[in-house]
Amino acid sequence: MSAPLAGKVVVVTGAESGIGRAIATVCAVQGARLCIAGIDAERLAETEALIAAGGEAPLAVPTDITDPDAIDRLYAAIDARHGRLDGVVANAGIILHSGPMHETSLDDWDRTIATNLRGTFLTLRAGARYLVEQGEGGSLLATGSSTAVRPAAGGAAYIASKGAVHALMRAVVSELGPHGIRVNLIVPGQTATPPLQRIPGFLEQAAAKLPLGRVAEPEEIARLVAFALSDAAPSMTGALLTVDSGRTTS
Amino acid sequence: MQAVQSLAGKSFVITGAGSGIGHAIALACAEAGANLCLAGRNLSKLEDAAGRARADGAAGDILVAATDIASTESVAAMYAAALDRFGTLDGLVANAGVMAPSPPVQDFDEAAFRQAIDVNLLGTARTVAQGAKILVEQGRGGTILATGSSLVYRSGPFMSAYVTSKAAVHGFMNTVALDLAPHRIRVNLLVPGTSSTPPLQAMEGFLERAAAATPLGEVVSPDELGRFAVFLLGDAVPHMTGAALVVDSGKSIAA
Repeated sequence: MSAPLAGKVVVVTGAESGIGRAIATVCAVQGARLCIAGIDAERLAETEALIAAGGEAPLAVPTDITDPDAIDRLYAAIDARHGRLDGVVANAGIILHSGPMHETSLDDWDRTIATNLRGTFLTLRAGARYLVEQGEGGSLLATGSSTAVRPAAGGAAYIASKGAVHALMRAVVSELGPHGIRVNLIVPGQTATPPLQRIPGFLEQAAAKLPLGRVAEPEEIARLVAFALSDAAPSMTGALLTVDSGRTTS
Repeated sequence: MQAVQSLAGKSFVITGAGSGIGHAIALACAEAGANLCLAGRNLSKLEDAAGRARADGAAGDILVAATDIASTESVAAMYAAALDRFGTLDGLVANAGVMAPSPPVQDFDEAAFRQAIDVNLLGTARTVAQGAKILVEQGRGGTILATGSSLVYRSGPFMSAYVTSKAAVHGFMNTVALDLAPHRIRVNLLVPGTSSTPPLQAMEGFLERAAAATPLGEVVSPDELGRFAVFLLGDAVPHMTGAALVVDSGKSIAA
């Protein structure tokens, strides 16, 4: 088995749990040199230990992605450690409220947009600046949501924020293409992540409504991300990488 | 080397394997260790492809089957040959198709239009339907890929028969994904943009102009579609179904 990401420097936000942790660990196994970012320093350290146990210790930078200064410090730390960048996975995001829009507080709305949209923008903007300056192309990924393609009832703030992330990614494909920078979107459906696992019965009920009858695992999304970060498909940009057990097709 | 995925021990049928994207998918799957039934109309091209795969060190068994996907009987014979040789089937790549320009629609050529529909749409449907029947009867899941076209999302003039037939393939695959999901058969669509295949290479200046019109400034290489097919045919992403995987240098998103 080869190491498709050998030597590539990759930053993953939201790496303290769920899909982000899986992406970080799978990319590390496939040879990437990881920088992991997350707002929860304690759980980020757990991801750091997981990766270090299997190979090269990642650079772990506790980061509030809504703070531009924190984003600057994140990329400065990557530059100081590795002096280069190959890929960005803007994965961090939050779901605060799953009720209907008319019961959504302004505070929940603002915090959701701040993290999921502003934070994703800041993460990708700084990454794109670095990659354009470096002049060797690169790969940008963000985590969208199948609910942005096929909304469910409830969680309007989350769905709107992810819909905006979808549009943001589409908007920059043509801007960054001439720099050889590929821009692709991960579109997970319901996935077996800790916040959903904690809601009694949620994943079982979700699975029953899916064409495949099962929810996705974070590790399979991570394997797809690793593929998109590799040099395997150099003409893939602007793609939706949907792993949703058939949800958006039905 | 990108072949992180192994297809060793798995058996697949690939149509249109004699040239272009199908040829690249065949070589990539062979390199990943799969047993393959390479199907297409031109037997000598299939034998060349099989010879190349073996020369490259393919570990799996490579079978060729001269096949016309416009014929139900021919597709049936293809699957019979594959099952006779391999015993079981893990999936298929319904890639075969024809691409020809159409006259402007006011000069509609009904015979040519019918041919595009019969090969690209009905040929894909026959291939998928007969393969699905085998996979359902085996009862252990499987994976089906077909080749669509990014022209379905962003068209061009004088391609009405081709684009219509491929748009129908997209719709067909979406629906089939739901038919087959209860059987744990994954159904996904490869959606290439302009790729450097022999018929397009033969048109002087075409690929250069096509490349200049994409955000990345390059056309798609069949080899990368081959690597992607290997990734999708393997077990890496077991909950991907109904997906349309666009590899088009950003063309379908660009203004």
